[in-house]
Amino acid sequence: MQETEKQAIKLWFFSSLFWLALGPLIGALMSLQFLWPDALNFLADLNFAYSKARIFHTNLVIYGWIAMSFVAAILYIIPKLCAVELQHAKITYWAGWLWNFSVALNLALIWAGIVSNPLLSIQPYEYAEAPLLVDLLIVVAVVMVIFSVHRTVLARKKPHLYVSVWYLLGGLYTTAITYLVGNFLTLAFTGLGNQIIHAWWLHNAVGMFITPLGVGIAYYFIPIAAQQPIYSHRLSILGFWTLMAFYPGTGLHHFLQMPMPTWIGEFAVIGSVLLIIPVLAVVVNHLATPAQNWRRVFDSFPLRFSVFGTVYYLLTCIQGTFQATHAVNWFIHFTEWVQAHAHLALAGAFTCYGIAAMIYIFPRVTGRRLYSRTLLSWVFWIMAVIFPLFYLAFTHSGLVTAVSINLMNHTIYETISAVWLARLFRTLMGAGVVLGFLLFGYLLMRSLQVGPKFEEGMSEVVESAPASAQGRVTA
Amino acid sequence: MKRLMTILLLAVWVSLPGLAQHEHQPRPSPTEAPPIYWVLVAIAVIAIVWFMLWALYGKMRPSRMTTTSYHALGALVIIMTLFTLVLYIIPAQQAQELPPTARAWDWKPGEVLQDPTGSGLSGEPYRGYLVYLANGCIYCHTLYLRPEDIKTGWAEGARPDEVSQIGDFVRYPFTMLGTQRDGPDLTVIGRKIPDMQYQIDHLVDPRRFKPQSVMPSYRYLSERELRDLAAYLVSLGNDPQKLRAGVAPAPAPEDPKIAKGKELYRSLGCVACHTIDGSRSTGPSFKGLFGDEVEVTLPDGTTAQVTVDEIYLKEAILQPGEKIVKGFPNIMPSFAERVTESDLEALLEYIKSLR
Ligand code: HEC
Ligand code: HEC
Ligand code: HEM
Repeated sequence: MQETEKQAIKLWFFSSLFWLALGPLIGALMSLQFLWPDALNFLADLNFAYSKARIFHTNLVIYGWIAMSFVAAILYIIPKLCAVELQHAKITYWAGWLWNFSVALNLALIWAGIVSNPLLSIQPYEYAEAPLLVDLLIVVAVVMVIFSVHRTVLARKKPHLYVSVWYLLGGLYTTAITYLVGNFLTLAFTGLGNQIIHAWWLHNAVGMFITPLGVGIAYYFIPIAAQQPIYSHRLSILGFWTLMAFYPGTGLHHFLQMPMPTWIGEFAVIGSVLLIIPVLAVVVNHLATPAQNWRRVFDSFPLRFSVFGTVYYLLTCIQGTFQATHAVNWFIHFTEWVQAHAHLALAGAFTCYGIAAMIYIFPRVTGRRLYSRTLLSWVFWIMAVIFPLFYLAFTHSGLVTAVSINLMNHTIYETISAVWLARLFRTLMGAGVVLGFLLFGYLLMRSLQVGPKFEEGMSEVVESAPASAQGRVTA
Repeated sequence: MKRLMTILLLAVWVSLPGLAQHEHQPRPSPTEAPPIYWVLVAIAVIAIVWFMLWALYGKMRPSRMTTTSYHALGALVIIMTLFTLVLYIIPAQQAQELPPTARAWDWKPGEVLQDPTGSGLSGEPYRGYLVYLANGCIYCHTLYLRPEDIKTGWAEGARPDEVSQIGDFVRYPFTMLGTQRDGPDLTVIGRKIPDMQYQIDHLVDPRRFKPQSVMPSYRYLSERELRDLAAYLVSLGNDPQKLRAGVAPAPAPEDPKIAKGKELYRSLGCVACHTIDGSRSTGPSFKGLFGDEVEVTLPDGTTAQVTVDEIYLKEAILQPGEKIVKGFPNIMPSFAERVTESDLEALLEYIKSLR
């Protein structure tokens, strides 16, 4: 691997780690708004409020953590699969700085809350709040990454494209289209037409950006970490094309009860339910591959995290198809049930994929192994035990709200006290999850200094306490 | 065999939304879709079925793939994405061209709204809308009423005829319907609480009026932003023409007691839950209350008919939990700590004056 290529990967890699430490922390902080709102009144002195913190949180975890860690993984995977060096590595390196700058500028502008400036005011689209100026910078950065990745694929030494390349390259292009629609095409529509285009963006931010990239990454790490060929080539083709066919039309399931022509809502619902096909294809492939060599799941951390991610992915999508039907949707819509779902997908499934990719890549770009198996086990068990509790607390609070308001005709104001306990539990468990992320960040940063040298063929994580870890760790 | 089973299972799953027919969607049917839509759907369905059969049973010859065919398939990915985008653009185009309804929101940039209570405050609703955006109110409040919301507790005081329609939104430059409700829907907030001063006070310190509220304090907004935002809130659910015509400044009540009561009605936040025009809100309206017969629930669960007199009113304000008006929740806070004897007198006079 050339030095510039390593440099580019490292930049995207460590930036994502930084945002991972920050984004969820803000989430935990703002969850206090629902417990002791007066305790957060001091934010008003800083021109800040819960609602701005929430935009910070979602933008940081999506554009800071998820996107940057995925790009780091892509920059590693694509050259490996094509058996060439990353083309134009310098460009992706500078794209990394541009991206970081855009994320930081985005935060600054959200904080400033400028009113009615076409370039600097935030936009009304969830997850696309970034002001136009930031959007332009992000578009430039994305184009730079796509350019370099596509050139790498064109320069490949192997004629065939492994399924990961399909997902990653296709995913980068659909990401670009989606981003352009969400941030620019929406400007051309007014009234409810605007909301319909917004809906197209809202779900495709998940479906055409995060899902194909995450799944593509898992498609690479699962077979390689399990040391098994992929279970079924047919399934991978089926999964890819049905994903591309069904995903982009489902956005309106976020606004099923808004006034709109029913047929387009119906289209979104049917598409959402059909989505179970690509999901099952992917999940079967991902779980059946290591099944041949099951011991590896216990030995290899990247595999463990990926398999866990896949389990969360399956749960998310079963929940998703279930709640997309009208009969369920009207009941749980507007409640925190939806946020629970969002966290299961992003903080559960795709964060697990991201962590798996990072564990795998870290030794290979820095030349050092992770110094502590114990710490990493802690991170894993937090994601495996505390995270589901966090999810359940979120769901619980959503369900209580839904029952209280829909069935018992209580007002929202009356329901606030009914969900207090569930929200307390959510904050506590969420704090646990944040701790897990911070531990993970600490583990990687510390391994930079004390991790023993890595050579290809070794496991990413040391087996027992090395001398260089100053006796901190026991196996 | 296994494959066929899988396909059957999937077919069952896919037909689920059909089974769960939507009694909660009392809106026009899919027959509205243009014919071209059905042609496209038919093509898509055939293509999908054919593709799945091929993927499951067909011959795989990946060795025949060339760079050109890769490019063709790559283009197909993009085309598929754009195809659904077109499907969304069709209704989006239709939606923004529908005629506005009579009550459609209709405020232009720069236009000023006078506080309907005659307090002399004013603000720009259009700019208020942008303030609403910049401060992320959308993450706790929605701006549309579903038919489902009327029977349930989602939108206290909203009337069935206020369920949102496409035409209500045509004059918005963009919409912020919202996906989450941690606070009430605001579609008709201006009809319920047409009082800019209250809205400003509530934004600055929500728990002054609603002790349990989780809404953040927006005291950091500038004076102008607060006024614009309050003007926007007041513009919601009110006929723009009537608001524009303005109100003849309400004749100052002769009686100083009534004037004081009116002021207390706002500053204590009674306005948050009680209207004075007869319409229902979180609590019953004050209009025509005095002398009326009401049905109340007593603490032991029995119901009783009472006539509203001064004693009843005093009790309702000082110990609201003692007699709960039927059909309303028991959420009114007690004002025993916050009103003096003379305040109470003034409030009673004011309520009595609202015939
Ligand atoms: C944390 C979520 C949250 C945010 C953010 C939020 N609100 Fe609220 N809001 C609530 C809750 C809860 C209530 C109900 C209790 C109350 O009236 O304070 C409410 C009530 C209201 C009411 C009704 C007041 C009444 O007396 O009935 C208005 C108007 C309102 N909010 C406007 C806003 C505006 C404007 C913003 C943005 C600047 C905003 N809210 C941001 C949670 C929120
Ligand atoms: C948080 C909302 C809320 C606030 C604020 C509030 N009320 Fe109420 N009020 C209610 C509700 C709900 C009811 C009906 C249930 C009950 O009787 O407690 C009610 C009932 C009443 C009644 C009895 C009405 C009837 O039809 O018999 C009176 C009188 C009254 N309120 C006066 C006031 C006054 C005066 C204030 C201000 C000082 C005030 N309320 C503030 C919610 C509120
Ligand atoms: C990488 C990890 C995480 C990701 C990707 C993530 C993602 C998200 C997303 C997408 C939303 C918006 C959901 C929607 O409106 O549809 C959200 C909201 C939220 N998140 Fe996270 N999140 C993460 C971690 C956390 C953690 C650890 C906490 C800790 C408590 C947390 C607390 C919250 C809260 C309180 C909200 C707002 C929910 C509400 O409005 O009631 N998040 N998050």
